[in-house]
Amino acid sequence: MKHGPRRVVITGMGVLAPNAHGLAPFANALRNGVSGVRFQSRLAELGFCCQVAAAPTGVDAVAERYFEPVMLRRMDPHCTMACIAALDAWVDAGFSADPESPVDWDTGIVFGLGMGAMHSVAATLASNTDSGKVRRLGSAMVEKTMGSAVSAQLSGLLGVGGQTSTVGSACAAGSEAIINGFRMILEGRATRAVVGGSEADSPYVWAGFEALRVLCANRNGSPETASRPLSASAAGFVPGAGAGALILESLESARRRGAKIYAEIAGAAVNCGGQRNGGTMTAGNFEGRQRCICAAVAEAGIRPEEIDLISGHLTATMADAFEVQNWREALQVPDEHFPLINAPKSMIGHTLGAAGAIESIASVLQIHGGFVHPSLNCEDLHPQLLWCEPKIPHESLRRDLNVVAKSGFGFGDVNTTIIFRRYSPEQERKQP
Amino acid sequence: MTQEGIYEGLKKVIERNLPRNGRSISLLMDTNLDQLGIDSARRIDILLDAEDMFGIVIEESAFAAVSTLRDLVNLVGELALAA
Repeated sequence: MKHGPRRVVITGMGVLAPNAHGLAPFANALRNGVSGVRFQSRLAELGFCCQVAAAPTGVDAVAERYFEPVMLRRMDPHCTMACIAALDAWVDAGFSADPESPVDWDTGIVFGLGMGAMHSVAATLASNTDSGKVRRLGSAMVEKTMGSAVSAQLSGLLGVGGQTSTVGSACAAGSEAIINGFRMILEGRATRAVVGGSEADSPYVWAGFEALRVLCANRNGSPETASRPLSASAAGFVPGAGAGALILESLESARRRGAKIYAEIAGAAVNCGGQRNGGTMTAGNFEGRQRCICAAVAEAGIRPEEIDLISGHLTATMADAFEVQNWREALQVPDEHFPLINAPKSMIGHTLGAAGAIESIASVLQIHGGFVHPSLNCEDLHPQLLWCEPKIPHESLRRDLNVVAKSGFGFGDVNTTIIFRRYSPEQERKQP
Repeated sequence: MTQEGIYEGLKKVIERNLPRNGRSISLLMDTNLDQLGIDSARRIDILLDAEDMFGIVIEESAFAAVSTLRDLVNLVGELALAA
């Protein structure tokens, strides 16, 4: 029997976002334009100019329901949130997290992180080491702070025996993890992959960005208006935190299990602009970004005009207008046929290493739920974006979406594009 | 501090450092720590937590000789008296 190229579908998701925990609450929050940005008294005490942030609330209480105290003390907050989201996704996909289960050799894990265990490093490791109290660090410091903390904890929680790794590509990490898991399944190295990204809510995570003067510092009195992607008055991004996880699975396996299928990953690309031709550590090389978009569209085997919605990286900096222009030049469709475009960060701030994962979940929920979430706080559209004004929703729209393109960027001139498509049994995956 | 008080305190310390996986754990004076699945990493954390709880410093060589909960109660009792 002749087999075509493998197809990869999404059969489970879990999210711990600044504006909701869980898929249904998150979908409702997106649909209703609920902001997760709040005033942060701790940032004010520390003298941050930016005193707003977007982080999940009540995480400690949630974590106590998921983990025993002995495990909680062995995890940095970024790992705790990642494991909550991944367990939610695993259960959502129809599996159970049984500590006595046999090893699942067919599943892999790829998780992304931005700043990783910065909180534990700064709050505990550095202070104890500097004060000569290394003996007092306890036994968990390595597993809390190692780069692979999340994938290592998850492999034990789920009994996963495939490749388990963590990727660090700054704010593109959550997206790159999804792409790596997608490739793992496409290449036949795994049947399933637990993928996602996470970031801790900590002044230590956000301080470097404050020092870089890229955070919004002029909206401390009105937090819900602070994250302003696409706006003429955007003045920097709102730092965020959270976690998102997806269960990717070969279509054959999903069908065999009778699993629900949220959507398909039709194509994806990850590249780097090489920090040339305008690209730097913090800015993107336009050619690199356009190549990334074109490669993902080509792999998906779609025509650019088939994209219904772009879920932008759009952080609320001067780069927003460049990002949209790059999409315009890459897709080469008449402006009237340019896709709708929205900015999840207008609600959830910039969750850094979690952004690609949480926002990809938002993309999939929009396909699955038949809606387009609003882009908040851009009524005063950036003057370079007036050409696409009709494409930016200020209110939630009911819309059957077939194709959503998700873009992600990271320091180091890293780019990602993922093409999510509504699942159709008849659709065939085209040979790239 | 009474031996009973030390016992109750150490029970809390050990319980905090044991994965239960839904099981109930019985901690008696003659319970052997190794039989509880307390590995070398968890012993480090039990030592530090016991130091914090009783305001003492436990030499690791003395702690290495501890087998049962009774051994640990006695060790902590001696150190607390000397403190």
